Amino acid sequence: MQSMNGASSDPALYPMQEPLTRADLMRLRGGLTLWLLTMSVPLMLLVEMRFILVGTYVSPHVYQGVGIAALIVLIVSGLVMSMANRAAKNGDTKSILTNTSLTMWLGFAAWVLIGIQVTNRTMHSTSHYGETYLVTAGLVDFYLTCLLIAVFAVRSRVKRLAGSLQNFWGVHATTTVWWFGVIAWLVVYLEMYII
Amino acid sequence: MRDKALFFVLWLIFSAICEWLASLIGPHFYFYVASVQAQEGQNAAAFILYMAVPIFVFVVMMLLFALFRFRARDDSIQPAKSQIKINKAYVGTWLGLSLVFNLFLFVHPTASAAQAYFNESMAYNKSPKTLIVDVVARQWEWRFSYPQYGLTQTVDANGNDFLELPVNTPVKFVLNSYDYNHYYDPQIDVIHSFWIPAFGMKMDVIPGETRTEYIEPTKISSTTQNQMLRVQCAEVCGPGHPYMEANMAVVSPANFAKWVAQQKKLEA
Amino acid sequence: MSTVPNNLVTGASGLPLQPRRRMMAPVLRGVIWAAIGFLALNTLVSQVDPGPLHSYVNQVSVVFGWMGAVIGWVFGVGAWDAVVKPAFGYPLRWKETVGWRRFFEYSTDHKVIATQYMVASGSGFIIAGIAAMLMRLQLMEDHLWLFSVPQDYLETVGIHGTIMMFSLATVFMVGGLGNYLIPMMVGSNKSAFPRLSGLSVWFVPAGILTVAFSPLLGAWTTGWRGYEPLAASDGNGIVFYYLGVFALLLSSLFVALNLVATIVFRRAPGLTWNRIPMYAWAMLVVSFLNIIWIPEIMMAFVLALLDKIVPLPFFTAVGSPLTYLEMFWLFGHPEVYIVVLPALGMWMEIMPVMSRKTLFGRQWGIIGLIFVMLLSGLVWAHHMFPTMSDVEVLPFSFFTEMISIPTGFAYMVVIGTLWQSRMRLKAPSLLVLMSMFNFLIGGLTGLFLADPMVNMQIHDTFFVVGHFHYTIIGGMVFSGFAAMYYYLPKFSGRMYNEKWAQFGAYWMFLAFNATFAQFFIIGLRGMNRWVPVYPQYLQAQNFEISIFAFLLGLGFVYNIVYILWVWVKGRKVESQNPWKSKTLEWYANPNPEEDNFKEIPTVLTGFYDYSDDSHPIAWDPTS
Repeated sequence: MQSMNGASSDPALYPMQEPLTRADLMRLRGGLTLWLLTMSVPLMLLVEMRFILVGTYVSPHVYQGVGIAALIVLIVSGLVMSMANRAAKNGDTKSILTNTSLTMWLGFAAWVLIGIQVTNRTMHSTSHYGETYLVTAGLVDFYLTCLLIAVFAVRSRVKRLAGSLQNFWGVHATTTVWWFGVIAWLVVYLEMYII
Repeated sequence: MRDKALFFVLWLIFSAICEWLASLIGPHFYFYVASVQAQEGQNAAAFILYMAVPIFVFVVMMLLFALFRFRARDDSIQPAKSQIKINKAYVGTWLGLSLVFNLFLFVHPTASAAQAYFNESMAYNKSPKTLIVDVVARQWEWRFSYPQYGLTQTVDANGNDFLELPVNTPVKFVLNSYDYNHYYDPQIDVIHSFWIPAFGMKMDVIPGETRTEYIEPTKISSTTQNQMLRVQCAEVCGPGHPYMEANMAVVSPANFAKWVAQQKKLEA
Repeated sequence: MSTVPNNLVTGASGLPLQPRRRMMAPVLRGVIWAAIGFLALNTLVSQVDPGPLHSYVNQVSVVFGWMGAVIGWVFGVGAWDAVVKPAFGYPLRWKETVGWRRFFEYSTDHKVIATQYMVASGSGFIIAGIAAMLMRLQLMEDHLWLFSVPQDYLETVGIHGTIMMFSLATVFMVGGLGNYLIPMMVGSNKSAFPRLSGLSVWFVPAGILTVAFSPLLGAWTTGWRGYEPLAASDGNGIVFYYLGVFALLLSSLFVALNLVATIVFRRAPGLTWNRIPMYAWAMLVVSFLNIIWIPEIMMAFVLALLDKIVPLPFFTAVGSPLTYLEMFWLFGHPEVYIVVLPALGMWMEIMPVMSRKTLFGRQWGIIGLIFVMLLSGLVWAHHMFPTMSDVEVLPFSFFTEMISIPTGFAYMVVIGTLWQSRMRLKAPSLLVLMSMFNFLIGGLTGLFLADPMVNMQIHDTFFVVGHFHYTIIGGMVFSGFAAMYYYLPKFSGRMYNEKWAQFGAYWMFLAFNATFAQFFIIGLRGMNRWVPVYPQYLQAQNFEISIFAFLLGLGFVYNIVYILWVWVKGRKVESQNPWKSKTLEWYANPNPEEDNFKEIPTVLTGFYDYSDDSHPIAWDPTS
């Protein structure tokens, strides 16, 4: 049904500022669930690929310290993002802004940490472990890139529309997807560094 | 009820006619059969054809019934007399028959033919009589060598690769894909498929793996006499794929021995 | 260009006119931004990573340049103003226009999006069809005469297959018909995620053009499957194959997300799970297949692309060539059902209406769709019988034969519906009957292919080509035409002429069968695939097949042109529901410019009971 309060906030076109109904929330959560399902498929494929090509071999050239550091930074960033989410539940825009900004810095740090061995040519692209590592870690870094843009977008939106924003679905959704990114790296860490 | 009886009678009649037609086509499904294995495939295909005919007739007759018997003769829109929503007997029969039909087909000819081929392969592999031919596929050439006779690359009068086999003798093809001119470049090896149409069998040749194919030729012939008897690459393997074929011949054991001697002289 | 907000014309808001910021025509802007995006990223990357040849466009730079081009294109047609900027909290300055212009820019109206999908997908059909005609022209002789080198022929095969599969077969009945009909069928004014949907359609032209222009980078010879390790050592055109398909798949993935959410969350009150229309069921099932398998193949294509441009030796002789094949067909077989299930749904949608008889065994039709979806992930390896070692073959053969059972349920339902019905023989019902006949042949020839021993002979021959053209053209394309004739009055408010339409249907049917039935024969005679040069004894039959193939091509063109002509110039239809159907789309507003339902209806009964003229919703016939 079309919103009647003027063309500029036609909900079909404008990011939702109005309060959400239960039905809206159901639909958005459903869509998000499907989206996370699709995003996990490539990861599953790569996990399978690793066991097909290299079995359980772990290269001694992999930087164990950097891997665990990235994991810790990401988990902390996830907790901070969850704090932003809690702030959104209370409608505390200032806290959302601080926490999302901290999340972005932490996320960027993890992005760099994961990116180190993807780009510094210490992994041999001709070895099976190396090529699998490059693609798997590269995929997580790609996901993180998208997530950073998403958090940045949400943060800008909260900042610019602070007064008129009546729902914080964006923050909730981004938190969920951010945790998806954290879990993605957890899976990749266990798979590429440990097992 | 009248519709059902009419349908059933017509179905029987047309199925019988079509089975008769199928029995004319079935034995020639493969067009040219020149090995034990092709004959097995031919038999399996003919059997599937006979099994498929009544189903084909059933569905097509249903469509024709809709087209002719149940067609509305005028443009007025009014409900059909029958408004049946479900008929348990029909659904049950359909479900039961399709299950039985498919399970049956899986047992015979699918599993039975595969079993037969498997047993033949085992027997050929053990038999000392079996001729071993090493086949190397590369972009874009088939190369044949006969390790039992010390032949490394057999060719015809024009110097093209040539495969010659004795009739009624089991053959074990050992298939590999690599380029003997560029063995240092793993990027260049691709998948080929070793296919001799008249033998009814094909096997992909995968780089980095060794595959085997077992055949027993049954007819004396050659590519020049029948082009179904040719070594053809069946899997696209790059620009030269259309040209990746080799001529071959199936000859009597005596002629084969002569040919081997002649090839040995050529290679010496 | 001056524009007016959509809801002003419909009179919904009554607010004063708010003109959009003056801007360039969105499609033109998209093209320019795409060019800028390409140049910027390509220049940057080829400076950072010049490649061994130091050429301006190298394998790596072209990938990034392409990404820049696609992003520029999608942003340019409207996503920048309507999606990106609002997402960052900037005020929205984008108003949707009215009239023909709205088909040429970003839109959130599901009917506009669906029309864009149909046109894009139909253009793909034409482009790939021309490629098919060129192939048949070459095959009229047994030596190279039209093409000068085999690469050109093989590349044409690849372009034909790729565009047909990923922009027509996967898209037309899902992105096109699905987007148009599903919101109406479930009694909603819009889809669940209209902004996402508006975005997705613009990937289709980008993808089609990428594949069509792949020869710019160099010939590729793998056909639509991009088999490794050939692809890695093949011409650079294969890079555009991966990228183009990636764009097309991304589009289908968005469609799938949107359609599932629409069917599950946007149903009108009273439209319970027991009452969901058959086509909506088909869309639901297909979308789940898309959601699971499209990301899988996208990742596989990324691996193959990296295998090509980095290069990583995943699939070469020292890696595992078979893994790519497995990954491809793991998607590739569900893909076949992604193509065919909408057609089966359409049969069950059209036939009760045309035969004025209650849909027979509805629950079995749904069970069939769902079991096909579940089993389709278990049969992939039957595309690789000669590739695998013999011991692995039988389980796949088993499931392949078993999947014919749930597929057969669609026949059981439609045949049960037709039995003792009062079938009106109009173009849509005629085309459905033809589609059922063709798909039956496709299915029965599948029995031969499912048998490993027979498969070893007919695999990679024209028998297989005949088989899958019977399933895909015979199933999906014929049903697509049936749906187009059936829904023309809904789409355009105009009605086709029965004689001209049936003439077109018979033309396609006869030419189709004359062409592809012979594929079985010539395949058994030893005609293998991917060859512009073949033994001389096959030339006569190939020549004659080509003649019928040209007739078939003309038949498709005739029907497309006729449908377009009716859409624009046809006779105005008197009734808004000429077939007297009971599904909700026919109760929707006949004017496609307006909202589907002024008031969301409440569904009172199921849609498939044709024993009387009652309505499934409270309906005032005078309105």
